[in-house]
Amino acid sequence: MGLVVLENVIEICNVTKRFGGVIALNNVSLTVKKGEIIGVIGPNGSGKTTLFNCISGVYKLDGGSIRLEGKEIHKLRPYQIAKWVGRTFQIPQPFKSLTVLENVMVATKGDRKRALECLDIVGLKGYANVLFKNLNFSQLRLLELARALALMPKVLLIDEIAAGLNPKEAVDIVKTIKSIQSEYNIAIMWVEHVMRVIMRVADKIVVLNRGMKIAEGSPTEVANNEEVIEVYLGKNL
Amino acid sequence: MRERVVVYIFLSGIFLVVPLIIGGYWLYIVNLALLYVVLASTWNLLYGFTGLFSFAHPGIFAISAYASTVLAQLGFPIPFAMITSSLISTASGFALAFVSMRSRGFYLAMVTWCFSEVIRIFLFMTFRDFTIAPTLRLNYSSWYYLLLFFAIISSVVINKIINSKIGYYLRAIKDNEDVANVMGVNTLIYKLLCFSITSFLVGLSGAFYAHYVGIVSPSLAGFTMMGQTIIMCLLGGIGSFIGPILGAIIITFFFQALRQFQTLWLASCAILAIVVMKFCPEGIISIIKKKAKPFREWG
Amino acid sequence: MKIMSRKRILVVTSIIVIVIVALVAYYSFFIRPGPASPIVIGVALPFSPPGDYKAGSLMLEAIKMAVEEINQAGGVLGRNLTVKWEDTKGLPEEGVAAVERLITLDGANVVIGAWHSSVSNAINDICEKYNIINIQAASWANEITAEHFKTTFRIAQYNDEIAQRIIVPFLRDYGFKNVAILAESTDFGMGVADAVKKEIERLGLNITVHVITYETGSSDLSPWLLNIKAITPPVQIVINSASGYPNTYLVHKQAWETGLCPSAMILGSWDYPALPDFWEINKQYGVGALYAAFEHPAFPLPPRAQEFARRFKERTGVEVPYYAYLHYDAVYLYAEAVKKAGTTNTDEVIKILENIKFEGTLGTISFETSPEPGPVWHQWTGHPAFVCQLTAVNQPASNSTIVWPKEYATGELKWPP
Repeated sequence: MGLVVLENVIEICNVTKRFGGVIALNNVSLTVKKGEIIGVIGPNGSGKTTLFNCISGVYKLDGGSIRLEGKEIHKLRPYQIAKWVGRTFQIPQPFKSLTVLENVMVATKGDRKRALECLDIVGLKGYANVLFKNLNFSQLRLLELARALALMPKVLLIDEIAAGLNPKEAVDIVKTIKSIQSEYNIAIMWVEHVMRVIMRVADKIVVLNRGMKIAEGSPTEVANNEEVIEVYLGKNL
Repeated sequence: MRERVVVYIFLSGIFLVVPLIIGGYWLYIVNLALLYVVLASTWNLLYGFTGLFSFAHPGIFAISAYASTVLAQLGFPIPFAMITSSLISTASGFALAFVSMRSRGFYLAMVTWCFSEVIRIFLFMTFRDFTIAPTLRLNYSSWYYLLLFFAIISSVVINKIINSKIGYYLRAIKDNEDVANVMGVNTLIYKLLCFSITSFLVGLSGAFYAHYVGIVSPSLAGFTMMGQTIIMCLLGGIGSFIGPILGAIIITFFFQALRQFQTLWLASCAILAIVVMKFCPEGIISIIKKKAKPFREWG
Repeated sequence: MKIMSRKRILVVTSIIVIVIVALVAYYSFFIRPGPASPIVIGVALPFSPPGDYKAGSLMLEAIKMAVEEINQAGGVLGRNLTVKWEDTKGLPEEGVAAVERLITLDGANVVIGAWHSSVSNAINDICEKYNIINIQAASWANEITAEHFKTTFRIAQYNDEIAQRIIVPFLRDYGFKNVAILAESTDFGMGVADAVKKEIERLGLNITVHVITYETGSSDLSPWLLNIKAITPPVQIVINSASGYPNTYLVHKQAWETGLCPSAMILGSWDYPALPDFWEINKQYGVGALYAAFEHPAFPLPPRAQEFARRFKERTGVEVPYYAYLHYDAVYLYAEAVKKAGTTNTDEVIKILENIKFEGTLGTISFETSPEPGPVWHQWTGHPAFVCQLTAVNQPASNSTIVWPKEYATGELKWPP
């Protein structure tokens, strides 16, 4: 069997983002290859969600660049970047006046059939005509996933999807994501605090602290990194 | 589906025979109510479905009313004047939206309010107190059918928008514009589209008003009409399709019923708004939907 | 909560609709005044904002007084008069609704209204449509009679008349050379300003006129008064061409506060010091104020008019404004025309009105009708006119000095006061 070279899907080069005097991201660089799952971890305020907001175009960069398949995307508007990048949010943000199906149809540009397919993938097809207030927390997470998937992205940004879920729900959602990844060969960047989840799933882990990348490597390498251990106060990774 | 067809036929029958049953004053009021149906429905599309709290309605209305009047006075056929003036008001609405669509909430409200005020003052300085508008030589019955047709077409257009993918985009923008952006919706374009469509319909309402009442005055760009429109939507149900239509009809007749109460009619507006917000914040339509299952499908 | 079945919904909705339609049809078609029923005086005036509701209520009182008197004297043609009033709110579409209601539901035989020129212009179309006489006793816009409607009769002044018969002769007779007109941005305010300029030009007078317009409803006129103060050479007199309350009162106080007075005199609108607020607002700044009036105690009105003024003050607590006389007269004028015609038939009454000479409170009312385009159509032009000056604090308008016409002056024009 020959060596399979995975192409870079997303290249984040020396990205800097400031909010007034606060440097939220400081020269952060990383790459994500096609079909790869990159876990992004770090303490609160380390810049994880800021990084996602920069990639999805919500924030404009103060320095550096972001390329997707070689094309610069950091100057584009969020709706333009959405052609390639789908994301979930730290706190689920469904469109409250729309049903589950309609939420996904926003992303599919009205394509009802594809929206139903996406709901089927995440197991929410039976809730198509339900409003968000009738979904439990785990189902809201799945809705976000379906919505992001409906964009047919090359990169999926998953933001703390396991937070707030019980162990069984977390396991189920991880299975769903893994099956999506293997079927569609999507690159995934995954911000997570639930270590037992991300360490098992990720191909590579990137650790951010105070806006800077302090470690990058396999889960085992990162787990044994002294600086990482110190940042997380010696938690058992 | 069959029941819905029966109801449509029943309502059509009622609508068609109205001028045969009532005349004079009541028919004049019904005609005004039909204009208000369009004003309320368009404002509801802006705020109830897209989250754009706009005070531009009076300004847009007045621009078209005056433009149509001036064109008619210059000798152009009134229908031509009306369409042209509606396009002028659409362009004005588009320009206003282009300049202000990055504003949200309070700031958007202030910008659009200033727009209407500027229009009002401009009209005062240019045209003074009032201008006589040539009228279409129609009796109230003919006006009724014309305005009914206009109100129905406007409602159909709005309904189609609401129930299309554009409707989903608009509601997504209202719920969370940033997330809608991230989900691939060019929110600016759709807000511009929404504003332009409503400006056309509001402009056409203004043109109809000019040639119906026969007088245009700068007070058209004042707050009175805006206040009434908001109360109509509030009472009927902001964010529903039928609510503002019901609200427009009820409020038009309610205000006429209060004619003999002089200055108290103003107080009644405030009291009504408070009562609705306290006891029925989602409007009458929410009560109707709870009581009658078939109406739930009617938005 | 019980959910209604579809059939029940349909039945209930149908019943509600049928009941509403039946009620409306009943009122539309079956309520009609018979020949022995009262003669209905329809009144379309502002009784709520944004209309001038203060003026509206005073005008209504004057109308009611006339109706009561006529009824006490036996009515007209054996029939009593009754007043039906509707609120125009100062808005054209409401004015049309008001008059539609008065004519089609209340059976008005005549409509008196509407105060705001924009509303008057809307309602006279409706009266013409239904062939109901409209007596205009307050709106001054030229257009109202310039449309030459068969049914419109105006006993109030018209804009050009104010300029031609009061302002310009006053300026000429007192030798004013440099004048400012502070015009509110209404058809009335700016119409009078234009008419003044036109008349000065027509007469070839050497008077410089500066027109400064301001937003109607403004209560702070200081910015515009300061503009006038900055004019060189200094302006000798400022004419406040406005009808809006309270700016017609505030102009004096603000003219002194900005330093425009005493270098310029202020002629502040028409007949306006009638309300008690004038001296509360202006205090010593009201001394020296000039205003136009259409009646003055130095030229006693007929005893009937004096009696009306006395009873009006008793009834309302305010001195009678001139427009109250006109609305009082409007009722009597119509009653007299109906009596002479022997019928309330509009066409017959119009024939009488066109040739009538009626002794009103302010003079003998007759209507001038010129076939030439313009506002002199069914128009009374014989209004008495004075320019008066207030000479002491808390002075009632009735004790003011007539300073013009000079032949009727009761004292000298004193400035500074």
